[in-house]
Amino acid sequence: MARILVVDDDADIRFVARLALTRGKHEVVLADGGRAALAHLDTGAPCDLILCDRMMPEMTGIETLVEVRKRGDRASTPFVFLTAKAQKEEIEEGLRLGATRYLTKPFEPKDLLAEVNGLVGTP
Amino acid sequence: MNARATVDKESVRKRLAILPPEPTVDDLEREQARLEATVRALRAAVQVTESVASAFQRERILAAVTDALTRTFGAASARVWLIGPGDQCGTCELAHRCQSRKQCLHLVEHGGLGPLDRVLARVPVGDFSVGRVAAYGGMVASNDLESEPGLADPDWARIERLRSFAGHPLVHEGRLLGVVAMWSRDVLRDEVLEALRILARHAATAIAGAQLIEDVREQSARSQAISRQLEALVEASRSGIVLVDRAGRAAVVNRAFRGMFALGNREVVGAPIGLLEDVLRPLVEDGELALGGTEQEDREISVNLPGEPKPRIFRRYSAAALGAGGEVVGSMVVFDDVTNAHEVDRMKSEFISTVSHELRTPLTSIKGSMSLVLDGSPLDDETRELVEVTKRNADRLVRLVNDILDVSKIEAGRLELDPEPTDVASLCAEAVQGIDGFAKKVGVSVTSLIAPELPEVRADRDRIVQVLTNLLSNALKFSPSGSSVDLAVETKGEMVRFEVRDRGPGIPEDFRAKLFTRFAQSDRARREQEGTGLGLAICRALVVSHGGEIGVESEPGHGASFFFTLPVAAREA
Repeated sequence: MARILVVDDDADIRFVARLALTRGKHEVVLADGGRAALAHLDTGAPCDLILCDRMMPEMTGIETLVEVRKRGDRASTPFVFLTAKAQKEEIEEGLRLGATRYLTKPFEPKDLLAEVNGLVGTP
Repeated sequence: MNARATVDKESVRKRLAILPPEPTVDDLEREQARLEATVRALRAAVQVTESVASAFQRERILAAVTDALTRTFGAASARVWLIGPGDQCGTCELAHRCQSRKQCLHLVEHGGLGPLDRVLARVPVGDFSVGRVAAYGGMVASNDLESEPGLADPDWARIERLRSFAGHPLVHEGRLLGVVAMWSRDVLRDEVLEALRILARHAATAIAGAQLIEDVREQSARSQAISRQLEALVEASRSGIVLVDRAGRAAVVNRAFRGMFALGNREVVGAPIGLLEDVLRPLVEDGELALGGTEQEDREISVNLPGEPKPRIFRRYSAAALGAGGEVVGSMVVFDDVTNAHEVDRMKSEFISTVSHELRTPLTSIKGSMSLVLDGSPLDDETRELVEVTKRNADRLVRLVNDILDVSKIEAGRLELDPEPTDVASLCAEAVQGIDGFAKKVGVSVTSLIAPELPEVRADRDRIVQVLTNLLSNALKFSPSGSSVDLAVETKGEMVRFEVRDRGPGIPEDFRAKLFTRFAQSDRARREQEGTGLGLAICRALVVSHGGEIGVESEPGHGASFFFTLPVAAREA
């Protein structure tokens, strides 16, 4: 079992992602934006993987990624984008800035779980 | 009795030469007085002729002629008619007897007594006294109007006590221009007739000359007017226009051009074009102005204007300026400001891109939810079917969104390809594997017929797999169950040719032409509700962007064969 932080401003996406991951026996924490995600991380709560949208109000996924990487204790936490921005150059940009994986919407719950398991190990 | 007296030089000379035998002193004095009168008249004629010939305006020539006839030669009435178009044929009272349709003698000048009858403002050639002069082509004269009523209105002649008439045609280089005529209360002596003859000859020459001058003047005024209109048009045009003359100098620089390049009131007309280019070059971000060139194709340049935050984009066209004989006399370059059009294009692309992304989010939730339902606790058949319908249609919407994004990129010219030398066999294997599930589902096998030792092609791998997948899935869609679809690849010169053959119903000829356009779907494809109607349009754009060709061959009832070509990758040196 891994502890996964899901960051997305869309509640339905959060719901679907959580169900897909909890069915895979992971523990899921939800954040509706970058600020909430950083607040959670700054409590020192353990986190094995961050799954993050890109297009969000107030704070984008890229900004969130940069902030996460600034925190020494989270520098090596797998950071996976899960986003509708699926153009070649957008994918390249995300990976260049330090994302571990770049997954695009729409996604199959099975595929998402497989990717996550690949990074944190099957529980 | 024939009262018409025609006179020529010979007869004048005869009369001057014949002297009565044994003249008395009185006779001699009379004769001397007569000769002196003749000399005076001819001198006057010469003088008048000179003043007539030196006038360049028709009105002045005509006035001088009638003046001379009334003042110097004692005419009670002198008139000039000129041949002109029959502008009153519809209303002319003489129309019924007119022989000279469309042309008649127009009264253009009169001195002394005015005409009695307005009808005489237009006289048919051959009619009345002047018409007869014109038709006859030589002088007509009479000193006995009473017995020759056709030469003047009898009432008018009686009231005005007119006694004589002489008319002479105005002929220049064999062409009849009109008639000059005089009526007098006195006998018309030979010297007067001779003066009339001289006057008529010179007047004709002067009138023809004046007409020529008038024609030239009119023509030049006309072309000046046209050229002024053209200048105004060029000046008012919203396109920037520069005309370069043969000497390589700026001949015309219009207002729009000055505005587009912030030239203000700077004097540039007449400047060598190279100098103007030097002045403007710092503004041009990319691309050459090439103001003097005509050979380049249309293209766009970016121009940074002082005080403008963003560069403006101008589309440049050019053409040779041709002279009257089709010879090149210079060149013109035209600039259109397409900045706004570009901005609109960009906004359109951005809008489509945003909408596509926005659509993806709800579709993700729908698709994800349906998958989770199907993978969750067991469902009864009906519920499962309903969930599958929902998921299938969500999938279709996702494909549509992807295709629309592709099309908008293609249309905006922002399709970015990453062509590299690519192995053909693995390309095909990837595409065939991708549609394997669908092939099994429809019960159709896919046979790869790939020639051995194919060279690598220059291709953006993902995009060409996309093309192959599209063609293969189309072929599968239209194949009868149990049949097979062939994927054949071979070299054709410097190209590699890919062909996807099915054994479906084929494509009617009238539909083949529009097959590669957007939203061109056969009725069957529409019924099946599988595709987006954009697939083949995207395939064509992708193949063409690779420098290849795409097409279809089909015989209805015998399947269809889609093919495309890709260039062979250049061998490493």
